[in-house]
Amino acid sequence: MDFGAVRTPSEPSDGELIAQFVDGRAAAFDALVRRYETTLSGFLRRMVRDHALADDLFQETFLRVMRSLPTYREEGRFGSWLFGIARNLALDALRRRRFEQELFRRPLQNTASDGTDSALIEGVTDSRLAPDALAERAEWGARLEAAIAELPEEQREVLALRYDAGLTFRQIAEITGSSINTALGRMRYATIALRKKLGVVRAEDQADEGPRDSPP
Amino acid sequence: MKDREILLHNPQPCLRAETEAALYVAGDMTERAAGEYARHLEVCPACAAAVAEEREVAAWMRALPAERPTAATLSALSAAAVRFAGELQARRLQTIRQPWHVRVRRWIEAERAWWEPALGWTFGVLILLASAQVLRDTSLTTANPEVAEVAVASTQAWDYELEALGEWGSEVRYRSDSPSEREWSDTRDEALSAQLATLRDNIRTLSLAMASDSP
Repeated sequence: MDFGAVRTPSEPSDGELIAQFVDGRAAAFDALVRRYETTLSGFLRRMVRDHALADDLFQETFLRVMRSLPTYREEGRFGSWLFGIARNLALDALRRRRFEQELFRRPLQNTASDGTDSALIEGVTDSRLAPDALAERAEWGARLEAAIAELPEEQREVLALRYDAGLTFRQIAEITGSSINTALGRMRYATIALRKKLGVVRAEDQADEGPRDSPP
Repeated sequence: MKDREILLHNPQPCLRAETEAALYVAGDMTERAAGEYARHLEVCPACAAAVAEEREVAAWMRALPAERPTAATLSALSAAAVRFAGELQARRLQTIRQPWHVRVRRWIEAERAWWEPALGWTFGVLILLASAQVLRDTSLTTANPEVAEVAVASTQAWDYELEALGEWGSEVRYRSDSPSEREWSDTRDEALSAQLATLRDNIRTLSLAMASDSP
């Protein structure tokens, strides 16, 4: 199963690409990178909240994968393995960053405000929307990113693995080493916390409180 | 602590909302479970609200722009892949050119991860089987302590008889001056000893068999 990957049915499976690469075809590895570039990059950026660091971790993840491929036995779990490596690297990087911040007594750097805004504005460019609506949407996106950045690490991790990596909850539980109910609980807490941070009223209270504040 | 506070502000009257709402929205439920939960949603406002919230957050997340690594990162990876693929090919060619015994030795070394534990397990199982066999044999004499005691006692008695007979034969031999008598005595002594030894072994086997058959 190629979860978290962008692949059409006619394309070779992860296992086939791995076999081709081990046979000496470098292009197969490029195809593997392209398949996971969006999901893995999104996951890493969401985890470490730093474009440059996420890029470094993306590269490091694939380099580790490359070195291990000759002895790797593909059993339809490449995606799980890949995201597991990326997760460990991201957690190590976060630990290192926390240590450095404590050492130099710097406030927690939130790159969501500096690096994200421009990316968001680029990403939401939609010719069908009026300039006002575009600006509103970009503003909403920035608020959402900031709210995600404030979530506890384990909730942000589940959110990133579900929506950026596109994994199922069973796979998330496997990668994070927790039970599926823990993963689902964290997702529920993340949803409630996000809505609260964004000032969106609960769905069941919506009828009583009138129109809600939601993205344009 | 934060999670607890969130829950206090957002009471969940239905426990299913906490886990099944996200699972339902993600489409990770089996068809049967999804059908059953959909029927539950019609009668449970808490779960219906949770599903609506999960759907909304999913829509927000999907609307966020996709992330991509920089072109420099991708080209660095591509270059590394070319180098490493070349190394892999060279390694394979080197392996093909080597004599068969070197390749076998390399294979044994490379596959050590599975054959070494397998060998260990095989030895372990053989030792266990041998121990079980020894215990089974030992249990022949201990199945019924009384019979076992009789068997041992009778075997010891026959040993004493044999010893006594040997001593008696020696005495006869030394008392006689005639060489033909001494020869006859020796031959008879040996034949008798052999017969008695066979008889003793038969009794031992019979006693042990009785001991194992006794309740």
